[in-house]
Amino acid sequence: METMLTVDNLGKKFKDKQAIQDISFDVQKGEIMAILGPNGAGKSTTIRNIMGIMYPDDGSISFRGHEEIPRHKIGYLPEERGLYQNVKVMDILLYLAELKDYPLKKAKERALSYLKKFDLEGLENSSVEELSKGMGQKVQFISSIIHEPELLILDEPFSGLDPVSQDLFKTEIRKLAENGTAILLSSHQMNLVEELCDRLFMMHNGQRIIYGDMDDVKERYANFKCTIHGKNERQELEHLPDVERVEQGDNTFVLYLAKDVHAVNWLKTLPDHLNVQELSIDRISLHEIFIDIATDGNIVQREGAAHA
Amino acid sequence: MRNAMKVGKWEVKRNLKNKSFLIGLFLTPVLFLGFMFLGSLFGDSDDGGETTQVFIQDQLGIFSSLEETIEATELDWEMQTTDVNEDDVQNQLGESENAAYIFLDERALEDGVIPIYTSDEIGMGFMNQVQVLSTPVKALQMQQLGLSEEELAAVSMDIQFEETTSEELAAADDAETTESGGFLGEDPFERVIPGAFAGIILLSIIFSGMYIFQSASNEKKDKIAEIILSSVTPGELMQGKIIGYFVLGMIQAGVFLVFAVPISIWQLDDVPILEYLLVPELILLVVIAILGYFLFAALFIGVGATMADVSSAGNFQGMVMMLPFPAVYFHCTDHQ
Repeated sequence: METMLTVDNLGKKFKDKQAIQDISFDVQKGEIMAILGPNGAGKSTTIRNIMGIMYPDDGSISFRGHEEIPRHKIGYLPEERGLYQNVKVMDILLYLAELKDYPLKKAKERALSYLKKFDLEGLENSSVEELSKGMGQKVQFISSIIHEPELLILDEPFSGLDPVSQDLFKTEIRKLAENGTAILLSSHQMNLVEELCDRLFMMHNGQRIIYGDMDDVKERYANFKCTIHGKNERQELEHLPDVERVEQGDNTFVLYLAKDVHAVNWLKTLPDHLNVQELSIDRISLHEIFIDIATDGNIVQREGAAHA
Repeated sequence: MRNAMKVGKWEVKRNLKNKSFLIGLFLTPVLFLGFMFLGSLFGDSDDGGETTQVFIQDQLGIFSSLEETIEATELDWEMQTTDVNEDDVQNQLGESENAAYIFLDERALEDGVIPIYTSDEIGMGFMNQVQVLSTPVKALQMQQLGLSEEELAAVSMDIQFEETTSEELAAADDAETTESGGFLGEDPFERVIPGAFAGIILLSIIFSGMYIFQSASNEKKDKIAEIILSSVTPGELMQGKIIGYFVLGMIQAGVFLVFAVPISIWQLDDVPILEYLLVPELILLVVIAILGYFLFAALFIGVGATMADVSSAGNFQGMVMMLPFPAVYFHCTDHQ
């Protein structure tokens, strides 16, 4: 597989605050790569450094081995959305395509077909002021892919969209990847990322937490956890086999189980006198890992240390 | 550079499709010229509307010389002799509007006082106008004292001071031909017309510079700057804006001139406007104007880059706009 984008040891400081540090990853042709992290983790800073809107203090960025940004081969949807206010939709799309050196006639055709696809048919001659926020976002998405980019960078593409539009975006992003576009997107909507992405890079406080294949990550971090409702002794639960740690909230206990545990067999080992009002057993989701990181929990630190 | 041209083309196209820009484009010259010429039109008709009736009770026998004086000064007076008594004046004035009674008798020669009775409404500045009558009265006074013609001329002549600075002396030595007249030369329009043209150019430059600044900060505010910067470098974007707004400024100046030149030719019949305008110095002016535009654009971009949005930069904008005016001040003090 061809590597489209390589980020190597990227670092950026804002005054005394280290915004990002030692960020390294790459994006391959035809894959969807996600940058995840809570607000303020440094996702947008990383993307802005890639786009040349900011200049990094350390590290390097290369596109197919070249240092220079091939601007007309990249599509970019920034986090802060905006368009010229009193301009027609088609005029903006054609202007942005022209800036990318894309042939005008082809751009017009593509613009019309995408407008149709995104339920904006017939709006090409209305002014941007008349569009709703979601419509504006769709127009921006179209503007970022109108020139058939080889690398597409989407900063929070799903924020502010209704579920129908989210699905539309998801389908389109997947299709682009199938056609060989390398896609880098940032998000904090875990369910979407879980469905969509091939690989992920999770960061917190400007540093790498997890980087790898979606399936690997799930397998590595998504152990079983058992939630028990009922009056029990914490100490007793802690001494059950294969329990790595216990979290308690009133009468609810969450037991984090060891890797490779067999769920049914483990359930059989529960003592008879245990007070169980409710019991559930499931895997730790990406969502929980995310929350855990955002609240400085310890799933990843523990697991990460074990697998480092 | 190609990208800069694209940005420039876009800015021109975008603004020319923008209603508020178009309204401003045509309204500015209309307002400007409107105030310049309409004011004088109304002024003329006001003056022409009212004729002052002046009745003179002439006991000195100088009515004919007074008439000559009034004719020479082109005052809008209708003069008549009258034999109304000073005591009856009140009745006479009560019936008439815009009228005045002047009594010329021994008092004028002996005390130098001429009584004038005016109606309630009298043309503005009548009391100033009436001063011209003092010359013939003065002449009569002198005559009665028995002065000869020569003595009369000497006495009635005003004393004038004529100033020549050393600079002017040097200039006079350098150039054999001396210009007659003062600062504005023989025909004031010879200087005024290029000056007005330069003023139009100056205004266009300031406005274009301001537009660049507003456009850049609006892009920041509308959050589109990042999208544009993903396609072009910041340098190209700004170059494009400078080119684009230069063209827009020229369009503005062009529209202004399309209004101004025909109206001026129509209003100022006998002034050869085009001959005064199309002189070799015009090329120099245009070169300086273009350089000035670059200076302004650079200042506005520099300032705009440090400002978050238009409103926070409002004060600074005013300061940058005032920058060319100290030059005007120095120019004027230089000539005084």
